[in-house]
Amino acid sequence: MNTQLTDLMHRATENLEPVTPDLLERTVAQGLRLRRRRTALLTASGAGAVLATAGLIAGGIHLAGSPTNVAVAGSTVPSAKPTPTAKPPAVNLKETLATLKTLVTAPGRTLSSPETWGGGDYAGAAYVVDDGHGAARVDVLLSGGGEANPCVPVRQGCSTLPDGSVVYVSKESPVYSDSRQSQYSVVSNYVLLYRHDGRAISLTSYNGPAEKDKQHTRPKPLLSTEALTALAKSKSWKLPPVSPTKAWKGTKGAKPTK
Amino acid sequence: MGTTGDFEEFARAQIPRLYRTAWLLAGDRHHAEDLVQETLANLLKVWQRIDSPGAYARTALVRTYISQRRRKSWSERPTADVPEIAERAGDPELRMALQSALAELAPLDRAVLVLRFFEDRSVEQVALDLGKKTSAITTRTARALDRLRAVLGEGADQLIAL
Repeated sequence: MNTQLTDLMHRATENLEPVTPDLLERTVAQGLRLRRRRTALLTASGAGAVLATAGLIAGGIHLAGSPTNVAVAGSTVPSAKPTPTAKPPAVNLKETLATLKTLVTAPGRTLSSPETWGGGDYAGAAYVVDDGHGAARVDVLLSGGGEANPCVPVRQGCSTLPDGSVVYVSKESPVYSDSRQSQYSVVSNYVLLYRHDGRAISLTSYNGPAEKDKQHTRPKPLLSTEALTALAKSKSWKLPPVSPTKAWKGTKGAKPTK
Repeated sequence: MGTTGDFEEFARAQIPRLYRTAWLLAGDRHHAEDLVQETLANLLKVWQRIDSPGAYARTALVRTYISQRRRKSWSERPTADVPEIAERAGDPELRMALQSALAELAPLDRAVLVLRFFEDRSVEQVALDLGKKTSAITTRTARALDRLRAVLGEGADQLIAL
């Protein structure tokens, strides 16, 4: 089967070429945009760096007396140590879905299309929520580790909480980077709360019932970034146990993450 | 290494290979292109700090895929896309069958098989790429192969002969 699978994969892909002729141009344009944004932030935001440093110091001071002081905001890799023998219990997907339901339920809203995915060290859950102004997807991902700290380096949308956790916020980002964006017009608000132990809670709210391949139903996502931030901070989430460190060891300069 | 020109030269050479891996991971051409674009755009962002861009890009591609699949719900639609270039008879069927079979797997299992059998990486390399223990990769490989065996059965031989 092993050889067969290798043969199958190579046979199936040997003539495949990207459909879009300008994939390289679009990739370079997107990469340069990202790099300009990063460079601008790094060079122009001396204040941001000071704030980040202040955040680190504040986080350090706050955490100094905490028994769970394993890392502070700005750490590239969470330093929590995995338990080598005991297998952590799998996160409960139904519970995650139920928590999401509780948190997004409000008068005038109807919830449909419940969805869960994941298991083990992460759990995802989603609902399509309709407040009468257009059905819109809201999803959550609870992660026990392995996510990159979105605020290393510090960039626009980052803030540090008193406990050393960081929050990254992205407002009304387009889903597609090509012509399909004008076709579907779906945008999302996204919040990621990255805890000092490496675990993360991320929430995304769209302005349509699905992320891709469906038309938008409203001008803006159902939940604002402020509302998503409040949800991310909720104590109701039952987070997965801390996962073993997942560090990139392929190059010395940077680590690939997403 | 460091200029955008260097990057473009690198990306032009790497896109076909990355795209094929992305297609096996993502399940359709549009998702595969999204995956390649996002991976390379992020690579350009840190281009001047990379020593081994080829290996970096391939690992980043798989990690981006896993992360996207965790974060978002993809609706996979294995389809026989109209090819841009002439294909041998049998290729669309082969692709459909392979994608249908791979779609039966969890994203991580799928990534493990693609890395092991398409990218020809060792268990240790895959474990490093995916941040798992080698024992976990071995277990996942066996489980995923069992699943594929059940789905494809003896049809695998027929598919190769197409």
